[in-house]
Amino acid sequence: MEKALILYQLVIGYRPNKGVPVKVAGPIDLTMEDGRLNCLIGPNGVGKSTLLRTIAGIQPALSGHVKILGELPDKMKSEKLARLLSIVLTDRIGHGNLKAFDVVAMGRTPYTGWFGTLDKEDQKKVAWAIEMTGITDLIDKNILELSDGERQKVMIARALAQDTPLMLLDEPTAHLDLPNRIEIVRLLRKLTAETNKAIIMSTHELDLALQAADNIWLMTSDHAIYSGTPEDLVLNDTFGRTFTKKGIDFDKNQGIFRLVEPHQKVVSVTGGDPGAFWTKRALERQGFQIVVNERQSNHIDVTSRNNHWQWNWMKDGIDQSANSIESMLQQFTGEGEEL
Amino acid sequence: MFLAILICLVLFIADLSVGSVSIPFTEVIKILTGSHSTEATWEKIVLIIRLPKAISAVLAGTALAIAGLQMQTLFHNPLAGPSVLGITAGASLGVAVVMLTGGGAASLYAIRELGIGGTWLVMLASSAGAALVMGLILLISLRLKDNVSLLIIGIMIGNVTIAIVSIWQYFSSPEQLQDYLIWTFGSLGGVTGRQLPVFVTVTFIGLVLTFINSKSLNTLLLGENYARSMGINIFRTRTLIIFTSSILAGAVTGFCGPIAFIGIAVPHLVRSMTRTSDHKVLIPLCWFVGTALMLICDLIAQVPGSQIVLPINAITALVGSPVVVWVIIKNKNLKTAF
Repeated sequence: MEKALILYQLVIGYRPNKGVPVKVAGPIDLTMEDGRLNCLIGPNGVGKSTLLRTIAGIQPALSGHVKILGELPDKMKSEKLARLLSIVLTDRIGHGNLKAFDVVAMGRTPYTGWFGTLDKEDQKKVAWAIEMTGITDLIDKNILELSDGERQKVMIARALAQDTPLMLLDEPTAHLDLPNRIEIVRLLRKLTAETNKAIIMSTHELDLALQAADNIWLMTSDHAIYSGTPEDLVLNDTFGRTFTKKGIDFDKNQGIFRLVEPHQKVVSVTGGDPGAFWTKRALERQGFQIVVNERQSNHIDVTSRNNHWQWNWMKDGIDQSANSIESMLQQFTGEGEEL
Repeated sequence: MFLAILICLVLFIADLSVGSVSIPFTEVIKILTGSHSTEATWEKIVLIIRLPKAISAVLAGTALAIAGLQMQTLFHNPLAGPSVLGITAGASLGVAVVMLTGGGAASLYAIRELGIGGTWLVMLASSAGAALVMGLILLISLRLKDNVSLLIIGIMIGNVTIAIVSIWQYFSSPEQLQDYLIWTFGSLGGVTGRQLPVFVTVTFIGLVLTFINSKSLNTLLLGENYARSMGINIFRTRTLIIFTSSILAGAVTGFCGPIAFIGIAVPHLVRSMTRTSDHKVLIPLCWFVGTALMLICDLIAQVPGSQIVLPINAITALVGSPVVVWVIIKNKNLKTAF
């Protein structure tokens, strides 16, 4: 079985009309298997879109080549490539008289005749794409009436109807709220599992990529690209190194990025989660360094009873307590009223 | 569909019956079906004068509407149309070159005397002028993604073209000038029986090519990147659209003069009627609505019951502009209705 995608000694970049080619990244040697969700991440301007455009054949490579299921896309007729690779772009659709169904049905373009009439097989594929993406209620709606999340699902359904072994998505979760972001990623995971498609998505949602991707391609500012399971990239520090900036720190233990304030004070927190977890987050934001030492004078204990959380600490030998993090912070950091 | 054909047919016959001499409906039908009319002069009027003119109206309406539809899709711009983006101005330049250069020998009437060869000459000159402007605009559109800028540039190119023509006019003799000025008023009556087959052929070719291209036109609605990813050859599609729009707009301009607003108004009218952007539906409907609107304009231009014939160019602008305004107001926003 041919690999879904092979990048061989691929150098990506631009060829301006005048002057020398501008290299963006490479040489890249990567492969990708069927049925996997691959997230392409990296800081802004590092060349994620260029890589996707090069794989999609929109932009020529400076050197090296791309192989999709063992075939070279730039040597292929565009109609044949359209049966191997489908894309979801960030382009807005400006035409208002298109129904969602029409857009999904357009995915069958590479298979229909000159007039674009859908035969039985085409109709089956369109119906299947609509069902898989859960947009049955939307198909009669005008594409401009849809919310961003709904429209994104319609565009994914269109790519699905195109029925290609490889799908590229350029920031499919941009401009979406959290529930929609998670829904899109869940949908993509479902597609890789149930249809054995190879899916590559570029994204800025690092935490989402860490959770959802089978594999991550991490592009760094020094033109390199690292590939690996998300957890491996975290453990070997690749992830932290790439994204750590002044004031932002990657917490390897929890897989999240933190705003780093200069630590001035130390504090220890005990108690059950999730109360203790969110208490630590709030304190860190205020510039506290969390330490594990109960004998410290700065110590907060978080308790819960019947889902009511309470915060207890000592100040100048007197017991203090609060029933919300907000009031605890006010009293503990001394920014609010002094008791 | 049946209703649309019926309306066009009724308007067509009405167009034949109205004019400086009023001919009853029934007589027109009699003449058209080949039987003899009660008055021999009516027969001559209908068959020799009014029939070519009515057929020209059908062809001009069809050609302009189809050219406008394709341009709106290609440019992703609801305001695109032969007259707005300077395509008609380009065609005028082509005609001016033919009419104003050759001296008296190449005047409009001289060209008519040349017969088919001369007809093709005007047609080719105006199509070439149209293609020149459209190609230029398209070239700029490759570098400019912003539609509004593109539109302004299109209007500017149109202005430059008009300026060149008027400088040319300044140095031309009065006789040549008069021919040209009459041509700019637009006239459906100028097409003679001998020229008609050329006009029919060009319009038919344009219509068929556009219809064949309808699948590609549909995918262009999602933008060129998506269209390419679905296996559409963008270069070929663009070239075909420019070619067909240019010959359609060029033919109409060459034969009937610069006719404004049909090209931009009809596609909007059709879209707001059908609420679809599917070219397989829009193309035949643009054909019918373009035909109907042009016939209505011609009927108005006759000023029924009088001896006056108004310039068709003025009537299409009078009818066409309110249509565009009405569509925008009705849909609140041209972009979403587009």
